[in-house]
Amino acid sequence: MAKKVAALIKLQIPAGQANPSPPVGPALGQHGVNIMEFCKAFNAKTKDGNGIITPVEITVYADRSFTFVTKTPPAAVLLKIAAGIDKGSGEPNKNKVGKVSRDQVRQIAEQKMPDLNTTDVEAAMRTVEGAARSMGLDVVD
Amino acid sequence: MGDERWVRLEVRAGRDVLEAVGLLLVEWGAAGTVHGPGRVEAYYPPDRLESLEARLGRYAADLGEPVSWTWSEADAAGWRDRWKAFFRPARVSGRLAVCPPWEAWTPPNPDVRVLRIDPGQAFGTGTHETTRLCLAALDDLLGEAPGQPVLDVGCGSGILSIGAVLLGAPWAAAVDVDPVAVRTARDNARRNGVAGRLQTWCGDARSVRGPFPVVVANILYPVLAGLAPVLARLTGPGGSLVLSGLLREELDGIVRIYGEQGLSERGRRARGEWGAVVLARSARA
Repeated sequence: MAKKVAALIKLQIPAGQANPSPPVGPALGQHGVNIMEFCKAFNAKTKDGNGIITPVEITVYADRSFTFVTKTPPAAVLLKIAAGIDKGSGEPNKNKVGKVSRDQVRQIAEQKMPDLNTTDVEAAMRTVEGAARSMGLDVVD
Repeated sequence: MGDERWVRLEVRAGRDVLEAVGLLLVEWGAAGTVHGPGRVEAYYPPDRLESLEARLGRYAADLGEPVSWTWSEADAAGWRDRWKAFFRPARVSGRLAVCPPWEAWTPPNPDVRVLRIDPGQAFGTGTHETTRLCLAALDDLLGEAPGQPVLDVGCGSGILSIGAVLLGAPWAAAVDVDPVAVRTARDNARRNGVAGRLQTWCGDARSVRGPFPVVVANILYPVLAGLAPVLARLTGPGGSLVLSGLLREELDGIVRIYGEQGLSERGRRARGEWGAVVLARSARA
């Protein structure tokens, strides 16, 4: 019989670098998960990820055991890589920090479609374009 | 790390804006983010609140789309210790059970020894597969040949070294690079009445003088791979080295790496996706 799910936790943390400080500690600890065990398992699974921000979905069961799956990096991280920038803009309209092409947006949208919970590439592209604008990137043809 | 304070920031916005905000919150110093429908959360030391408030204000004003946020104090005690309610006594090997110190429990089988362990903020409660794999291996090794001192590299809570003493080692040495772990291991040794039989020190395995007849290291693949010459040196002629913190698929690779250091596989065991390997050094080496 399937185990009863007590909580689903979504985090974005650097690959291979989970530790019991926030956000991991509070996010897992409040659901009774043994924080150190999660850190050990996550760091083992993502040791080759070079510290890139990695989305992870943790399913906590009623007996406080847990499983987790990692996903492709967030769209904003992929946009940062595609644009070749160090940081997003704190004032995204006033201070543009770079640009990405529509082809790059499409590639990222296709990569992120499973995580964005859509099969419509145009809808996924709109989300990625919105993220690009919100971090100070121009989208160009 | 016990007393630090944190404030929790929760930002609400549309989905695409939150994608960007999640990244900005990390760039502004958060160690990661927590995501829920229409919101993202991050944690900061309280002295960052003022500058972050100003940054968020500028960001929202410039973006021109709805972004709102709230601050709250994080309840550290609430999350650090909540898992303890679910830490129960458990048999972890043929002759050993692990029990939290706040439980009054005696095993139904009087031959089973009870290791009372409070991990604090260090690794090792005995509920993780790799801890159990290591304790089972130590149980076998010390069952076959009691009286062998044991070195525990990356000791965490001290569960393996203290367990080794309870399983028949005359004494054990526990080393960890984390001072919190070393302190926790010492406290746990006292709690189990074996403080006089556990040597602890804080530092790198490279600084340890050996060799030992039994060495155990439950860390992670990249660390164990890097420590191969050191752990091989610390494992005496005819001695055994127990390695875990390894995924099953990593066992072959680690056996190969340690093979180059003159150690050969004596056996392996697995639980779930995790594995442990026992390596042996030739008596003539």
